[in-house]
Amino acid sequence: MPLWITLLIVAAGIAGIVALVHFAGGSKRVRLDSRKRVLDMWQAECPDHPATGALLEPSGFAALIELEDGSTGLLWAMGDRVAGRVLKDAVMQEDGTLLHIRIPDFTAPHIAVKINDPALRHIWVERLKTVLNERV
Amino acid sequence: MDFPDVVMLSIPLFIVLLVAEILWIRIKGRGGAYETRDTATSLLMGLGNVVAGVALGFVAYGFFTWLWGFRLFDLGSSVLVIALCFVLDDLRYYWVHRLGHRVRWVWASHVNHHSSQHYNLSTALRQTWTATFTLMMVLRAPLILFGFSPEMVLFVGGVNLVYQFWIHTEAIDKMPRWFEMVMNTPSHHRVHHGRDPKYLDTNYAGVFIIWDKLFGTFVPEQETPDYGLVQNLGTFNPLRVAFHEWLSMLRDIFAPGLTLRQRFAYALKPPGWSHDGSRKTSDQIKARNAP
Repeated sequence: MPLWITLLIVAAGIAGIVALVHFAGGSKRVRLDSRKRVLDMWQAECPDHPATGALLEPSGFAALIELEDGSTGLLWAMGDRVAGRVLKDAVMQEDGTLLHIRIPDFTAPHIAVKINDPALRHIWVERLKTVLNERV
Repeated sequence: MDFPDVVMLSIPLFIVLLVAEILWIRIKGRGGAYETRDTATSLLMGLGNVVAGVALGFVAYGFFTWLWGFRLFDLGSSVLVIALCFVLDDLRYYWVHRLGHRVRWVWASHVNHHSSQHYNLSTALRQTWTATFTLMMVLRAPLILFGFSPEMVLFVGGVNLVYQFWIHTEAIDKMPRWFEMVMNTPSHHRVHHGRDPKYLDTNYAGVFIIWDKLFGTFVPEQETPDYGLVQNLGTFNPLRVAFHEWLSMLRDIFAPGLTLRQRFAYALKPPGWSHDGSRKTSDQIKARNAP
């Protein structure tokens, strides 16, 4: 079989399965919309960094985590699961309603958090400024 | 004797079973979960594994063919010899897999298979692109030197991989008791994919779970595992999934101010080892969480 036909079949096969998962409801995202749930998720993700509080945002995509040692963590949705990182040596960029957080971590390089409410975005920015290297 | 490429031949079956599992979960509302981007990543990792096999397969095959010239016997290719080769190769798989979790150099290749937070048939296809660089092919040398032909060794290894496809599922709870005692099953392998402290570095078996029972690494499934890595990935990018641990390890090995011994330790000690104790190995995580 010619290579291009093989590649076409493989690409169609992968795209077909991914589309099937999508239409079967596989693109639903977890919502970080309850403080208790967020703290439980953080505890499961980063048990070495006990949390004392969480700052949520309305879309439920991400949450800032206040940690016992005074540092700050970020928990965010990875599809229907989550990932978490302590924000160390990260950089923040504000771009309209988007906050770009870039972490020096090859496995979690960039998280974009959209916050439409200016007041809440300001709270996030101020909180992040205390722990990040701001770059506007 | 010509041996078929069972992995390639099984791809249509993999696809049929994968689609069946997706539909089963959708219709029944239980038996696991699929996530769109996670599935795409797993499938692309599987594709990359096939491409890497085509591109780099000559290294292992050339090594095996060279070794074959030094064989002690030629055991032929009777059904009995193939069966014996299959069992011995499964023992080989157990140790390669165990080293894959206990030696960071090998873990750098294997980690991607554990990088999904889901456990379904697509996870089975989330395979390494860098196995050749681990040099674990040397563990097949005894089989070939003893007289099992390279073609046969590769064939039984392929059958072993095909067997492991169906055990990556939550749709099957437990198999019959006798089967669970001897064979690797979805239940046993779910434990292997768990990031719960008590499940770390357990159930390395490929086909026969007896190796874990024999070598003290067997843990039965109790509560449903939390799947993934101790620190889960924050990306679905297949390139990052494939290479992240290699980069991390090389960064550690070449960090300034280390002794030569420490540099080797970063490659050969278990994942999580660090020269200053700032990270935790699975043994330390297990000890901290022991009841």
